[in-house]
Amino acid sequence: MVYAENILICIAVPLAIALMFLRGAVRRFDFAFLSGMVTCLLAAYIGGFFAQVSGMGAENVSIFLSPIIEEIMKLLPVLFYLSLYEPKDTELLQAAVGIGAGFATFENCCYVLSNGAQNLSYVLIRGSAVGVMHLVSMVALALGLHLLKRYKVFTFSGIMGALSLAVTFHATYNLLVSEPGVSTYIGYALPILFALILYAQTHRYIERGE
Amino acid sequence: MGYLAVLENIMMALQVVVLIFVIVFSAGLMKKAENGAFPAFFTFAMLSYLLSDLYIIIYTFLRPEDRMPFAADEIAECAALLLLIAGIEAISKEQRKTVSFGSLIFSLLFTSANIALWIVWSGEWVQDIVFGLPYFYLIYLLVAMLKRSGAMSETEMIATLMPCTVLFLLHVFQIFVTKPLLGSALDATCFALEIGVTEWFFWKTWQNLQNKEKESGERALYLSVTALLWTVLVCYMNGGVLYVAAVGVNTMTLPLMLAAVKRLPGDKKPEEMNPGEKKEQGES
Repeated sequence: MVYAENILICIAVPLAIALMFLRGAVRRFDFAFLSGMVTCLLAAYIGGFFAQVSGMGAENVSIFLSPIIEEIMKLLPVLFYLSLYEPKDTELLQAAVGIGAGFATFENCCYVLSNGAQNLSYVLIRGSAVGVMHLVSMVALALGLHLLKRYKVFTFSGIMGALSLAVTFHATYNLLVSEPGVSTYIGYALPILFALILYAQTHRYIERGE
Repeated sequence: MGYLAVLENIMMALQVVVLIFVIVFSAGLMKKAENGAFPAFFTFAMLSYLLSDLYIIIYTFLRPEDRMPFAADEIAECAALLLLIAGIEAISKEQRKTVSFGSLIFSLLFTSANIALWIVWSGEWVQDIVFGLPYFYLIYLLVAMLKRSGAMSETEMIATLMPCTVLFLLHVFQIFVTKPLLGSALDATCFALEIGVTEWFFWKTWQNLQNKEKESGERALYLSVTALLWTVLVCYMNGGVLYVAAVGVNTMTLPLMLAAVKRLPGDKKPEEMNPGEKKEQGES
């Protein structure tokens, strides 16, 4: 049994206090990171509810339901930030990265606390696969939203399109790692590979923004 | 894994290869920014399509016995359609200022007929209705834009509508057919009709691609996206070997769309804009 709320309080309090002493981009990132952790907890509640209602097994929930619920939950704070504060492109990206990193960190914390952290290689894989996957899906989502904003087609269909792309990426990863064997290794490598591709595509625009 | 599943996977793998080429070329167009907003949306749409194919292939290999419930490949297909919608919305702002009621009614009837058939075939009514919604809006946009851009005349539209109606009736009739021989004959007839309509879209797109007029790029795009949508529906309407053939036809629409995207005109220069457009540009 993992007391996720207690873990959240333990990690979130120093970050929340740190907000008082931070300004600018660092403060934005810190707040986004916190939001990501809270989002992760809420996604776990909703996921648990749907798992009960649908009667699916744990594996089927992680393959079919979790990607949809988690990506929708991660999209909500980004959309909230976008519609309320009208951020610049780099600010949007920073917030999305913060939410993704916060989500992944909290998920990993809960996972490590419930399954132990004795095996270094497994913990490393956990960090560089699932952790990076949440980050990559958020960067892709932010890029999609940036595109919609740039071409002034910030419509429901466009947002849903960007969201669905993130959901599919997440679902493909979960499917690949669900079965032992070669597919698992491909799954573990996928987030890092996409992170590198996205970095190659975005680093110029990040530097330009700065 | 049966021979049909192997055949399906080979065809899917072929589509993946074609999609990779299409994505690489359209990403190049996106960077050059000479063809306006559409290449960016097109690239992301094709990426979604690629992910959908990959998901199906991976799923077939890892879990060949399990039937997919509410799965990511359908979400990815929806993503592709929604991103194409966003792209079309981006390039047709001027022409979309008024609602085309004729297109709206046609789209409603056409999508409802399709959804009804999907429900009969799969029994998954919630899923079919939810995933039918992007089809409804894309069909509306395409019909409206085909009409407004002059890509298809009214006579051509009616001529295309007739085989669609016949197809619907044949598929409804097929539900009640119990004799396998008659069923196979109906399958073959429906497939021939479907391919006929596809060829018509291909030919019209090709004609516009050959045309040197500035507007023909946009027309070719609407026609090629219609061809893609139609071939996706053809895939849904067929099973077995005919499904594999339909996927092959669907693959052929991808380079056709890329060729149309390449012909799109870029964003207007300030001296080409009317005062209203200049003001809108200034606001950004």
